[in-house]
Amino acid sequence: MEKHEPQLTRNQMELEMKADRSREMQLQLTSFALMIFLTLIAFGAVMAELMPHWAAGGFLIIMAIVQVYLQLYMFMHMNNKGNTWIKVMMALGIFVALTIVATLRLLIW
Amino acid sequence: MGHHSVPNNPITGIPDHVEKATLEGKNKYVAFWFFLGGETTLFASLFGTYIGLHNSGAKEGLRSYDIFEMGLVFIMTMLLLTSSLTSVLAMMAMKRNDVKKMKMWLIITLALGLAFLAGEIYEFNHYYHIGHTFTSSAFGSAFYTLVGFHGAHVLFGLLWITTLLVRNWNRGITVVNAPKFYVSSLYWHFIDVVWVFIFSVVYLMGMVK
Repeated sequence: MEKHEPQLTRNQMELEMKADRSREMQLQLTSFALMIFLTLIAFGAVMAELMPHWAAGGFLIIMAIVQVYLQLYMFMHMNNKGNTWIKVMMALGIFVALTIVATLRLLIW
Repeated sequence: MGHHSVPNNPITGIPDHVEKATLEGKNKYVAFWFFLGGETTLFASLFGTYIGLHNSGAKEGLRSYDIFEMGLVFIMTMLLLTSSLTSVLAMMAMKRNDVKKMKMWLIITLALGLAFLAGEIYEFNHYYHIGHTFTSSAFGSAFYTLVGFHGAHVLFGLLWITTLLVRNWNRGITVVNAPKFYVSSLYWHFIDVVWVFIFSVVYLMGMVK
């Protein structure tokens, strides 16, 4: 019995890792397809001049934020657990970034 | 560096999460995110300046919607976006100790990054010849500073990943070099994140009259 046990565990492990790998691959490829899709919509909407002037800025920023969210959470693995400090630092970085952009936008005329 | 208590995975022959198997690896990972937080604020100041100076002082015919080469920008966007995916695939190969695949995907990432950079050099050269230069207007200064700074990051990323590949060509994947590969791939994704904002804020919004 004891002789067979490690063999069995190893096979199970191998299967499990294979399943994990294909799950991960599927997730990453789906994210990539979504990013391409968002890029196409953003470029298409602007180049075909589908957007009224006042709506373009907001629309493009929303598309960019969704795409960056995918980059951060899927490609850069911020969805993994144990990343609390990283999330805090990114949130601080984004907060400071928004403040800087707003300040400069209002300061320059 | 030598104190790694995380056991090897019997199937891959390296620890799971090999990039964070040592204290040094963990520290590099957290510190690199801290660095990226700083980079975020740096690019924010360049973006803020650009938004403030968009088309400022630019002559008729040299405004953003007159000059931007959107076809080229679209191709460059696709190249960089794809290179972000190949970088993910390289890291997935690294985690299962498949050094051959990792090297292959990293080389593809480098090739895509190089093509992006070539496109940007061509683009800048083209703008320069039609009269949109660093000193032609406040808009020009802000444009070349922001987009050029991003381009410099791409160049640095290419040199960094090339150096890692050359230095570790015959070393396999270890708890020592895995964190180095991993943070370089984070850097590469960050470059793509910045580019998403550049193509949205600079190019696409620049085309809206």
